[in-house]
Amino acid sequence: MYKSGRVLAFIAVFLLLVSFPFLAAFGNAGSDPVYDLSVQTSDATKVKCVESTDYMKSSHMKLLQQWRDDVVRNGQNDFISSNGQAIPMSLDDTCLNCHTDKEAFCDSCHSYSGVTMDCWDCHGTNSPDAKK
Amino acid sequence: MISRRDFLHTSLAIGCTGLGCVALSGCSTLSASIQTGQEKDNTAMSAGRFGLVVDVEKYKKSASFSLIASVCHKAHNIPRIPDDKQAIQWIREADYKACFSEAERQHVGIPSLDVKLPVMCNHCETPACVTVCPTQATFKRPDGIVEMDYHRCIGCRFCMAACPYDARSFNFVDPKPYIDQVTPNYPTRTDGVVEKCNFCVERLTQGLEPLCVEASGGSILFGDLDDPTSEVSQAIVSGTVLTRSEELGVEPGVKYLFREGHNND
Repeated sequence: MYKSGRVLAFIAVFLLLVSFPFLAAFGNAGSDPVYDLSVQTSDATKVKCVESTDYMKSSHMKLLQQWRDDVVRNGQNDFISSNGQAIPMSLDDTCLNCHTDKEAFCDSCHSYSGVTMDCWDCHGTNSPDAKK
Repeated sequence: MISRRDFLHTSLAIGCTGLGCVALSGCSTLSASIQTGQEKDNTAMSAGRFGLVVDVEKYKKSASFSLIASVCHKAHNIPRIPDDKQAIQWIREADYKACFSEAERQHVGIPSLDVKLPVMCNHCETPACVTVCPTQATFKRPDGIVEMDYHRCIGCRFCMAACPYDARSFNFVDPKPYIDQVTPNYPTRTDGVVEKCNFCVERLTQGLEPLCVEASGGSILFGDLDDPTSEVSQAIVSGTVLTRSEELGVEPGVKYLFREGHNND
């Protein structure tokens, strides 16, 4: 091979660079996030779960996006959940009323998975700890 | 060995099946969202076209603009930014003479009047802001309200350039530090978005009138302009009505009423 020494050396350097993040983090896997999906309100009568925990875990982002469009753009106010109850579509009034501890409920998983949210730039005005 | 022709035929068939599946699943989501839409809130105010009527004489006598502005700005978490160039306003005052041309003032028989009128987003019938918005962040609802979807606003400010009424404000800085006391349950805004009066849509869904109407001591009326029996429609025919920059043809939804019998000022 023409200039094989240099080519091989650069291939080695390239592979090293590309694999550096994996090598550096080898064996340092972080622990699973500690989250709390329980309801944190003192008034148990207000509690109305939107959907099952499994569904909310996997699809809350899609649901919230649908709510956003329905409320802002389509002028609807109530979400009809799969068990037929009408729930007002509001992050501030519905979700955060029961799940008041944003750090345990939202941040723990989102920081673990590196998902940055813009929600709190504007929402969360009724729970003081929602603002960073 | 598979021939080129067979390969193309097979991949075409697979592709079509795939597309079919996607289309079908799309349909089912659509029908689901239509079903949710059927649930109507009975208490919410509805209209063919919402509009405001400012009874100018009554407003001059009995309304306090500072009260109107304070309730509006407080409820909607509007910041108080000291620099005028960066200030956010949903409602402001403008001189009678600045609002209407001389011909219009002659038309209502009041060439000059010592009053500052409340001006806000006119929720036009043909809103220029909606036409120019590149992301459809501002849009017109079926009930005539020109709404903002802050999630979609990219801060290009085309709408501000297009609006003939200076009804829009841009958040040059993060507004939160400038809000005296944040009103719970109403979102704040972030820097880089445009905002304006929304006719209190969040109150209309609860069957309540806009705050400026409530705080005006009966001098600002609100209702359905399309319904001839509504309070606003009745008020409009009881006198002479002006709208700001009528000649532009955007058909503002905020009307200024001059009742008969006051045209000798």
